[in-house]
Amino acid sequence: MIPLENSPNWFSVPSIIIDFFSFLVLFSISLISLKYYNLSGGNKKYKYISFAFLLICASFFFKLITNLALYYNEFIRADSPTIITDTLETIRSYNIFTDLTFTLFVFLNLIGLYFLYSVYQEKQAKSMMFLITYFIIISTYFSNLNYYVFHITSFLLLTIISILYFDKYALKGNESTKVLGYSFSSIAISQILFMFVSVDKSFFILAEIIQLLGYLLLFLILRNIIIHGKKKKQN
Amino acid sequence: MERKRSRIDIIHDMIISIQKKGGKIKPTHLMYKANLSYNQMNIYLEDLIEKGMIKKIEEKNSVYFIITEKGYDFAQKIIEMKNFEESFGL
Repeated sequence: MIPLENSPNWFSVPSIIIDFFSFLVLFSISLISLKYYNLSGGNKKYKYISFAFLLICASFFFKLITNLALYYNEFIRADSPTIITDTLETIRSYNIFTDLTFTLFVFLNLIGLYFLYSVYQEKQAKSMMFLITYFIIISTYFSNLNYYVFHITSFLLLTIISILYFDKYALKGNESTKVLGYSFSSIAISQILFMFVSVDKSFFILAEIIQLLGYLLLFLILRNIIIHGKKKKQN
Repeated sequence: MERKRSRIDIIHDMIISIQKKGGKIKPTHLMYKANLSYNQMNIYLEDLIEKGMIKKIEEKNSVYFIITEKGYDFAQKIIEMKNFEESFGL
């Protein structure tokens, strides 16, 4: 099951726009971090951050493809009675396609979040990394059977990352790190709300808005980093 | 314990020190403000002059170092990078 199927009809396009915005924010962070990796003369932490955000960004690319395919199938093709293309074969290939893109979305999203968490773990045993990667593969498999599994796993990873940023804020007192904590907390809360979409469709709208808030906060942090740099230059 | 400054940290400290002095600084001031030894400072200065980020000038029998436009642009990028590093807790 894919969340967009539970979206109210009128909210399908705004939902795709929200995902596209999230995709752009993630891509920008990945690109900027890669730029700083080159500027710093090879500080690996920048490279890892860039890679983690690139993985999550790639997951959103597949989510967008999945939702665009669903949107086309549900609302555009269904409204065109003159085009009779609904043969059993096209439906079957469509299902295989959306299953594949959804699987890639789930796997890349979870592995990206885990990679982001790993950046902050100085010493992590390789056996533990293999074990968690294995559990992520298992989660991806079960997410295809029941999408709750994805949202629970994603919620757990996002909560751990949020706590990590709040701990860093408590240690260093940087306001942007606190905002980063709020950003990931918002995205974590949205995962819980996504689990209730089968109860009421309005949960889908609420979840998407809270997710948007999370990515807006990420965008603001990025904007502040660049604007603050420019201000310092002028001073 | 304070971690050892990287090359980029030292360049950052040097450029910030010059900026704080209005874009023009004497070598001795730069040495103290950027917390460098005389030899260290010369190595970094040579590098920055060669890359066109800093210029050496003489005024009233004194030597000064000034930041060029390229140096300002580089400083901005380093400041952005430092902000990113602090924000993401790296």
